Parts: sequence; C-alpha cells; structure tokens
Amino acid sequence: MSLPDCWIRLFRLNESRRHREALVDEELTFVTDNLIERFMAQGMSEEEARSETERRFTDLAATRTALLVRTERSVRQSRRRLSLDGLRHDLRVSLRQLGNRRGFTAIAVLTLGLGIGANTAIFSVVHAVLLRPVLHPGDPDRVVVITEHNLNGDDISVSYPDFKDWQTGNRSFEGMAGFNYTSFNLTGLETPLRVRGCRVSHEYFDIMDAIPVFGRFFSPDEDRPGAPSRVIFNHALWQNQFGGDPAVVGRTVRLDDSEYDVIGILPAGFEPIPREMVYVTLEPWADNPGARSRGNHQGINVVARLRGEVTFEEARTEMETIEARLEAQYPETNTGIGIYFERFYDRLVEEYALTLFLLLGAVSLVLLIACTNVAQLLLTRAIGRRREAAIQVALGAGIRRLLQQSLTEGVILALLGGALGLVLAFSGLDLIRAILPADIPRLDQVRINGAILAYTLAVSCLTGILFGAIPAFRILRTRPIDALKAGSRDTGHRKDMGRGLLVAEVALATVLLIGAGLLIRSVYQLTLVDPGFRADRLLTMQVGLPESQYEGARRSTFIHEMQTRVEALPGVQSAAVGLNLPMTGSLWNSVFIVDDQPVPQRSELPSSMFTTVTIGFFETFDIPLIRGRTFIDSDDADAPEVVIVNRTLAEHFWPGEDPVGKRLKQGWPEDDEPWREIVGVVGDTRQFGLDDVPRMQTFLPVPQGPLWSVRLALRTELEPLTLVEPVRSVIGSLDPELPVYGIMTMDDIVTTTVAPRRFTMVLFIIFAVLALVLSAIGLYGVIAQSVAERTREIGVRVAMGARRRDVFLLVVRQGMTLSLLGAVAGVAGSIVLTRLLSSLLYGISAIDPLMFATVPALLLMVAFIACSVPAGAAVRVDPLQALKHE
Amino acid sequence: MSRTVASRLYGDLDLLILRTLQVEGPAHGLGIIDAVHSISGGELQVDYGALYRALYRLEEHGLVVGEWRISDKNRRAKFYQLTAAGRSELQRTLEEWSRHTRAVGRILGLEWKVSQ
Repeated sequence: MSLPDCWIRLFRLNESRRHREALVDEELTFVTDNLIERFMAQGMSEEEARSETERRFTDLAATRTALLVRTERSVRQSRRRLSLDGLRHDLRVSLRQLGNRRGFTAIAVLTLGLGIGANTAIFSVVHAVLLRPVLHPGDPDRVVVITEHNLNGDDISVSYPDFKDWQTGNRSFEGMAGFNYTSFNLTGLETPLRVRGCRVSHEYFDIMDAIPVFGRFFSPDEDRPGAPSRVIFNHALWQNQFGGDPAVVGRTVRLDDSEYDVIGILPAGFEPIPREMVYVTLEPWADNPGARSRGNHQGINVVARLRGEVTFEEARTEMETIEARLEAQYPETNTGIGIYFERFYDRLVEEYALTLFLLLGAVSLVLLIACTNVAQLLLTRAIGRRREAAIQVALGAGIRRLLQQSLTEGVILALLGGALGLVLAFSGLDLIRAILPADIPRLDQVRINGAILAYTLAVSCLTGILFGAIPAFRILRTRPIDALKAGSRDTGHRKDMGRGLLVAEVALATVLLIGAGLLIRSVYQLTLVDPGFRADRLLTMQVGLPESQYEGARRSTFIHEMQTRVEALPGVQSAAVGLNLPMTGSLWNSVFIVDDQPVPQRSELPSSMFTTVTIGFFETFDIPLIRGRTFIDSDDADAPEVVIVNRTLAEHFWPGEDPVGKRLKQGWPEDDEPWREIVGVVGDTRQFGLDDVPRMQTFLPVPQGPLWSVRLALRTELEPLTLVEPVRSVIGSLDPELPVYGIMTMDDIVTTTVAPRRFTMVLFIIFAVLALVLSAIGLYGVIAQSVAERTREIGVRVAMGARRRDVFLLVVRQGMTLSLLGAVAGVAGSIVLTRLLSSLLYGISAIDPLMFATVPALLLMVAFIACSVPAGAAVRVDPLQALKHE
Repeated sequence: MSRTVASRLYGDLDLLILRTLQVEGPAHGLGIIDAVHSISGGELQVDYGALYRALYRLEEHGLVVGEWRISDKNRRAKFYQLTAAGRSELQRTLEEWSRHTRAVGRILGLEWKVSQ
C-alpha cells in the first residue's frame, strides 16, 4: 500500500465506491456468465447466447445503474444510523470515564477554564470596543472624519475657510459638518457645572444618523450668526443633572453668560465615552475675525457621510485634490497643509486597537499552553489504555470510532472548561473594567452577551478537537498486535509527541515572559523619568472663568485675589495659576519668530507651546530657573511685554549663549503682535506624559497673556485632597457661580499617563505567570511519567552501582534538555514577535540582550525545580521493588 | 429497523422472492429465478433486471441480507437470505394476501386454498 496503513483504515478506502461498483459488476457477471453457459449448452452460439441473456434483462445497463444507486443509498443510510448510535454511545462512555477519574478531570477542566476564561474576558473587551459597529443605525463605514495636518504631520484641525470650501466644493458626500470641542459653565443648577460642549453644524446629527429621544435637532436657521441660541443635551447630562425629565425640553439654561433654549435630547450611547455634554451650533461662534483667517486652525474637525455609490478611496482622492487646489490658491496659509482622512470609528479606537489585539494574541498563547497540558494528560491516559484500545480494534471497532470517541471526550472536557471559563470571566468582568484605562471608548458596554457566548463555544469546541485529536492520532499509529503483546513497551513515537508538546509549551511561555519583562522594565523606566518638576503633594483643579465676564484687569485682579487667598490657607505652601500645567498637554501652540535671526520660510517656522502663568508658578512646581528671573509684580499690563522660555527653546536658537534680552514674537511674521523680551530661562518639563520628547515652551505673565482656561495648582504640606473643600469655599466666596472641576493630584495625573502601559503590563504579567505555571506542571507531568516508566531501568542501574546523584542527574537532564530546547525556540520566536510590542516600550529595545538572557535563565531555574520533584522520587526507588515492576 | 417507504411490499415480485427464500433457504439471484421457474411449473418467467432491482430494494429496506459465498461451481456469488424483519413482513403479507383472495374468491364464486 502506498498510503500509510492508518489512513486507509481511517477513511475506509477499502470500502470505497469503486469497490462497491466492482461488487455489483461481479454479481451481474456471475448471472450473465451462467446464463450464457446454459444457452450455449442448449446449442446457441456465443453471440446468440449473449443477446438472449441481455434480452432476459430488458435493459442491462439501466439495471446496473439502478443497482448502483440503491447500493449507495443503503450504505449512506447504514452509516448514518451507525454514527448517530455511535455518538450517543460515545457521550455516555466519555461522561462515565470522566466521572471515574475525577482528579484528572478536575485538573483538565480547571486548566481549560483558566485558559478559556482569560480569552473570553479579553475578547469581550475587544468586541465591545473594536468589533461592534458604532451605535448608529445605518452603515457606520460611510462616515469619515477629515482633519488637516501641517508639514510635520501634526494634526492641527481644520481652518474655518477651508471647511467652508470643502463643504461647497465636494461631490462625494451627502453631508459634511464641522464640530469643535469646548467647555461651558452651566449655571442655574444647584451647583454651577462645567460641561464639555461641542459646537456643531446643523448637519451633524443627520450625518451621525441620530434620532432625538425628545425634541428635535438644529435647523439650518439656527446655525447662522445672530440666530437664537439653542442647545441640545446628551443623554448622560439629561439623566444626571435633570433627572431624565422630558419637561427639560423648552427650558432655558445659561451657558457661560448667554441664555440657551433646550430643544432636544440625544439617545443614550451617542458618544463612545459617556460624559455629560451639550451641543450648540457652530456658525455663530465661527463668526469671529480669528476664525475667518484661513491660516488660523481653531480646533474645528470635519465629519462627513459618503454619498451612496461613492467609495472610501474615491472620496479620499477628491478631498486630496480639493486640498491641493487650496494649497495652490492660498500659498501663504496653506503651503504644506494636507488632510487626514479616516473612518470615524477607526479614528476613535486606533489608539487602543494595537494594544487590545496584542492582548488577544497573548491570551491565545496562554490558551494554547493550557491545551498542550490537557493534551499531554489525555495522551498519557491514551497510552495507558492502549491495550484496551487494541482489543477494541481487534474485536472490530473501527479506527474511526475510536477517533470519534477520543474527540468526543476532548470536546466534552473543553465544553466543561468553557463553562467554567465563562463563569470566571463573568465574575472577573468588574475587575477587568476597573483596571482598564478609563478613556477606552465604550468601557461601559463590556459585558458577556450573545456574541461572547458564541465565541466561547467556538473556542471550546476548537480546543477540544485540537487536543482530542492528538491522543487519537497516537492511537492510529498503534499496531494492535504490538499493543496486545504482554509487557510491551511503548514505541518512541509517543515520547516524541509528548516531548514536542512540552518544548512548544516552554517556548510559548518564554515568549510571554520576555514580553512581560520588557513591559515591566518600560514602566519602571518611565517612573524614573524626571518630569522636570516636583509632582508630590500637588493639588490641581480647574476653574471655569468665563471670558466675557472676566476681562483684562478684572480677570487679573480675580486671579491675583484667588491666588493670595488660597496661599493664605493653612497647609498650603504656595499656589499658582496657569493656562497649562506640566503633564496636562498644551492648549496653545503657535509659530513664532525671534528678532536676531532671519525669518525662515513659512513652512519652516518654528513652533512652540505657549502658556500664561502667574507669579510664583515656577516656584510652586519647583521648576529650576537656569538664567535670568521669573515673573514679578511689575510685569503687568502696562509694562513692556516679557516672556520666559524653556531650555529647549534657548538651546535651539542661542546654543551656549545667554538668551536673556533677546526678543520673540508670537504668531505669523505679518501678525500684529508685540515683540516680547526674554527675561528668564527655566528647565524643561514634560507636557504630554513621561515619555514625551523635549519641546519648546514659552511662558507669558498673566496680565500680558490670554487665560481662557484657568488651572489652579497648590503645593500642600498635608495630604492634598484634604484641601479641596477649603479651596472650593475660597473660590465660592469670590464668585459662587464659578464651577470648580477636574480636581486631581499631580501624582494621579502622572499615573494616568502611565496607565495604558501599566494596564498592558499587568495583563502580560498575569498571562506570563499563568504560562509559566502551566508549563511547569506540564514538565512535571512528562518527567514524572518518564520516571514511572523507567522504574525498572532505574532499579537496574542502582543495583549495578549507580549512586543517588547519578540517578538524580539522569532524570533532571532529560527535563532540562527539553526546557532548554523550548527556551531557545522561545527566544528565537521572541526576536520576531516582540517587535509587535515596540510602540509600548520605553527605554528598552524590543530585543534587549539582557532580558533575552535573564528570562530563559529564570525559566530554566523553575524548570529545574519542576524536574527535581520527580527526580527526588526516582532517587528513593527501592531497587528490589523496581526490578519486580512491570 | 425502519423502512422509509410504505410498509407494503411492492407487489408480487417481492412476495415471490421472500417466499422462495423462506422455502428454499439462502440463494443467489439466479438460484431464486430458477426456483420460481421450476415451482411454478414453467409458468412464471421472471425478468432478470426486475428481479435484481427487487432484491436490492429488499436489501436496502432490511428485509433480506446479502453475503458473498462460494457457489456450487466454485465461483464467488452473493447469497441472499431472509432477515427476521423479512420473515415477519412475509408472514403478515401472506396472511393479508390470503384474506384478500378468499374474499375475492367468494365474490367471484371460487374457492381458493393457500398452502401453508
């Protein structure tokens, strides 16, 4: 036979259709030959005999066909009957067997439960965040977000004139709307509230396919300068602040200093991140000189819905063409400006997509390891029962039936494990939600639902088939006659398979451990980073100071008063106010020029973060002063304009020199801005997280700069949060209508920036430890089994003079060799795979040699421990008993 | 064992086959035809094609079962024999058949005896 024996038996090639056809032919030939003989005996010639025979059949060919058809039908029927009976039988047998060996079953189910449970949990997050389409009826793939970027690729939002040109010039979209995030003081409630706001074109809700829960959305008339002010609440705001009362529609509320009529309520879940929000129209706000300037990108982004037949790529091409045309038409403002064109939902989740898929990959590895362990368990048992199996085969049970039984058992185990896994995932869901970074979209929608159940079921069945098949293939290889011989030893095949599985396990565990190690080190490196200021015992909060009520001198006076009174509080060392604080990003970026150097090309103008701060700002944050001075009282509105710059900016323009006395001008070269004199240089601080790159920063004193967002920071002697109420009352005493919000200690802010990495790290650690433990168990199992088999051999060796140490080494060497192989394979795999982690790493390379050396060493130590337990048992073998052992 | 079609035999041919197998014991297709031919005194000439189709149908429905043996001429042939289901179906049909013919006979004024 050309094919291996087992394949032929498996697929019943000896009972093939061709074979059956031959049988039918044989039967017919028997009859026809006989008849021909008879007729010839009666005196006919062979020709005549043949035609007489055929006449007796009416239509021989048709008969033959009919017989073949019937044969196939019979076979199919009997097979169906057999397999159904077989399945029921297998179920009963499997359940009984699993019930008999409860220890084995428990270990297997627990192992699988952990593996499948972890997978289910991660998948439920991936599903809720990434896979479920956005909560809008209609095709979410048709909604795109378009924004503009500069030469460096920075997202700078869309300038208003560009937006308008896009709106009128495009043919690919059935609707295009602008939106601009902002915030307002919402007053008129018990406590003044700071709410996030969004200014939107009236087409916005139509594009997002939303339907109001109550009321209506904006009409085109309301989206015009000078139109009556209308506001729409989102569901969260309506529920939390207005008790879900439908009568809210039609009421009037105050946002900052204007009155707005409430005209509608949005459905729940409209925003991916549940936050209280209000929506107002865009055009009235855009009607200001700043917005009309084409070079001014004030934070408008654009969302649009593709027209029916237009494809994503076609629309992108059209927008790029339009943008290129604008660049040609308006070279002073639009040179080097391009667009980013993305699906709405992609943009929302792109930050997390990679991380979540990485985690799914990692947890799948853990599941593979769990499967490997269970496969080994089953394999060991299959070998132990090989004699039984051989007898069954000899008595006529088909190989296929044994295979089916093995698979059934595997699937039952896997389903039990899956059920346990579901329970584990369900109870762990709260824990998972707690440790996930809070700004992952749709966190509140992570739950176990139909899709998750289906996934779990599918995973369970697949894993069951996977590790049910492995012992089954082992059975196939058994030649029944060998297994029946008394005292037969097992062939080398099984050992190879069991060992191969172990090496694979160890390799997978190594990969996970290295990944976890890299992440641990990254997070650790981050915590060591000097943020450029002192972050401990620093309380920060935001105060909603509406520009229209507090302008110019009035604002400066207020800020000064607030700062003084807060500083006077017991327990406060110093206080300061700024547009931006360290580690809180940047609200104001602008190009600028310096006076003693040539003005570069427009597209090459340097850009700096700008912020406005009070006196005492640098002292409060403990930011070192390198040259010159900090702000003083005389830097007021009537005094000459001054600025302080950071080290990066100073080094960039005046390396090695003293920049004090030089001047810079904020904005475009032609802007009507004053020249400001540099009076001091301070150290760099991280603005966008501990892993931020050095950026240029410029500070203005409060009387001389804008302060549309007020952030208060105070250094406390005591626990910072104890001062929240006292500060609130101070501010309340100055103006009770001002909301105080965003209260966080600086330590917490820093922690939040590290949170995504830390989260990934924690999960990787859990997976890696799981993998390590499972591998150790697997190794223990394999070595223990090997010792049990070689008891006789060990007895012989000891009787022949082997010392205890030799026996110990004999056993351990076997295990360590396997582990070493696995570790090496794991290291090789890691070199390829850790690349995927590189966006999460900090301060360490994805193929850091130290990590790649220490992790395997650690693993081998654990392997050694796992081996020494059975090795110790081997050492204690009594030679006399061993020699009697079979 | 279940049959998926109507439990009535498909007609005389089936009845003849089953009865012949009952009386003569296991036989191959040719043997059955010869037996029918001789017992009927040469009256019944069976179409071989129809017979084999009937045999296979009976086998599919589990009333007979086929088995390959060496024939008297030392050639391999498929021998058919009744199954338990075949036996009981034959019995039932025979009884029904004789009731039926007795009734018809009475109407037609004939006596009809069926030998057991």
